[in-house]
Amino acid sequence: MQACLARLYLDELFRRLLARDPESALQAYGLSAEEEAAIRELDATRLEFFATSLKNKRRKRIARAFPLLFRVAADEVEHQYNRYHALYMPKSRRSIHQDVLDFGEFIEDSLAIAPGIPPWACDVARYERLLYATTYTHQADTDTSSGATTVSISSRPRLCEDAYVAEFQYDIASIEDALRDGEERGLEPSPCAIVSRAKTPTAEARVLRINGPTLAVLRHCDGRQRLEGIITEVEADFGTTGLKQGVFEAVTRLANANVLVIEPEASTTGPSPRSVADAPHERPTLTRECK
Amino acid sequence: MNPENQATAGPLSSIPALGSGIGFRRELKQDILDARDEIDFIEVVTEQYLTDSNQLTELEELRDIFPIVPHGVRLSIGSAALDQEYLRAIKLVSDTCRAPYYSEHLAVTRAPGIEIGHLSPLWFTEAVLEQTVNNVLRVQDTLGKPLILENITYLFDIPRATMTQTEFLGRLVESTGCGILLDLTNLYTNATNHDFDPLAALDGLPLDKVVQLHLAGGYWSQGILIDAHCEPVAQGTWALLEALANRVQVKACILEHDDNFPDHFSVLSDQVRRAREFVERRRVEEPYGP
Repeated sequence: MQACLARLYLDELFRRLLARDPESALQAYGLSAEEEAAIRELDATRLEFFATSLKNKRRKRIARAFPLLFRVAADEVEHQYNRYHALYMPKSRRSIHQDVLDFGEFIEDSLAIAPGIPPWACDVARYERLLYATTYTHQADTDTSSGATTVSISSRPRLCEDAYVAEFQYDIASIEDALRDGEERGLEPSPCAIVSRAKTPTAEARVLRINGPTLAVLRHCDGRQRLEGIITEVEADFGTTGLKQGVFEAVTRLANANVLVIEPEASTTGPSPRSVADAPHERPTLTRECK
Repeated sequence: MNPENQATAGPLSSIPALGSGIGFRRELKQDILDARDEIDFIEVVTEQYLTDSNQLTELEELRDIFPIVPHGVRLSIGSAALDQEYLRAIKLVSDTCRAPYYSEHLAVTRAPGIEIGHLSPLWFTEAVLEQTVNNVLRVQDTLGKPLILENITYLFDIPRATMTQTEFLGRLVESTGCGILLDLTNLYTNATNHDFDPLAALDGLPLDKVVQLHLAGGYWSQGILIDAHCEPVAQGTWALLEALANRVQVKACILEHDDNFPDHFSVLSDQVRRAREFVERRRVEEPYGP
């Protein structure tokens, strides 16, 4: 009974089917005669009103998370939200934040093939998803902000659980500034990368723009490789040598910014290997399609 | 009644009078802190403290300033089965608040595999009552304190119920020793939308089990009064508060305001002050205590 009611509240097509062919609509629910009669006698007008209020409530939560995106392509985003609501019922035992992040992935995929949308709209969707994840999906992790972190050549740095990395086709910082100023100008592709770190008891949330070499260093910080190995890998990436100092400084800077965690050197087992895109449960994979 | 459970939860009569307060919302945080002398206690939404452990720190800081009561929205007490993981999580918040009770809604918010996303009505039948009684006992046993349940607004009845919401709530209270969070705005809203006498409904409740009140203001949409927590409390709700205060001592009252925040906090604090007059009416005449 409750499963049937919940679906009626959230699924417009199911409500239509109930109105036209109640026997077919209800056959999968194994309802008693009394339960079936109760469902059939529901006030359809009030039920529709309630269903609309649920849909609007969900939309409001999502619109708050993607304010720039709703400004960039309002009609298309509304259209895609209607699709999203029709296709995906909120799942139990998942946080409302995860629903917002799921929409972020959905809209990014959808806008990529939608006609007449600015090519940088997908970047805006990804950026706002990054900000939301940074703000609302805190994962407990070692808080390294209590003092300067000591990095040595045998350190094994890894991305902090609270940190997210995303790459963009366009200069997302300029786009954000332009949109906040009410401008919508033509933009040329200008790849960039952002790393963000969630707020912790002792550190504020932060979003940092990183350059290509820093991103290359970050990609190798999986908690398994020692710094000396990372230096070798980065030098191979760039086809050069003599990057030891630069890599060392980049890792130190990122560790002091609480983006990287430095695993103890004495540990022989180390943490589970994890790449930037290996997301734990309910953690968005923001590097998923960024190449 | 389950004597074992009642021993765990403690009698409702031992719950102290908390006074007149406001629902804590982050948008109002600074205003609430600035007006701390005008606010007797605050109510926090439990779910805001479940996903981010950092926020428990905020809760502890607030607890040093105000008495706090936690108010949940996703327990789904009317569901066939409770979510154990959720129950463990709310206990942490409940314990952090150190409140004398925990409050929730008499509602269904979850069905197998589906999160409804809002409070939906129970089907008021004997079978649902039995399962809800079991759920309440389990929650009280887990939390180690009384659960108090709020009457919700409903846009439609689920047909073929065998009792009213008032009867259902009364029997639930009798069977479990839980208390009532009487939302007077919800009562007024339901009476308006479903055309019944709110005073008769009030008299149908075990008023001695009312532990806390909610007040809020809504708006009209398509001929339906919506409980939206975004407007000042309506006169009809104040009248119900007056009627209630004439019947029993009001121990605790929370003003809920979640949206369309006024430019001046005094719009809200004035309503908190007005509610306090009713809370204190009988406290002066009949001081509460052992």
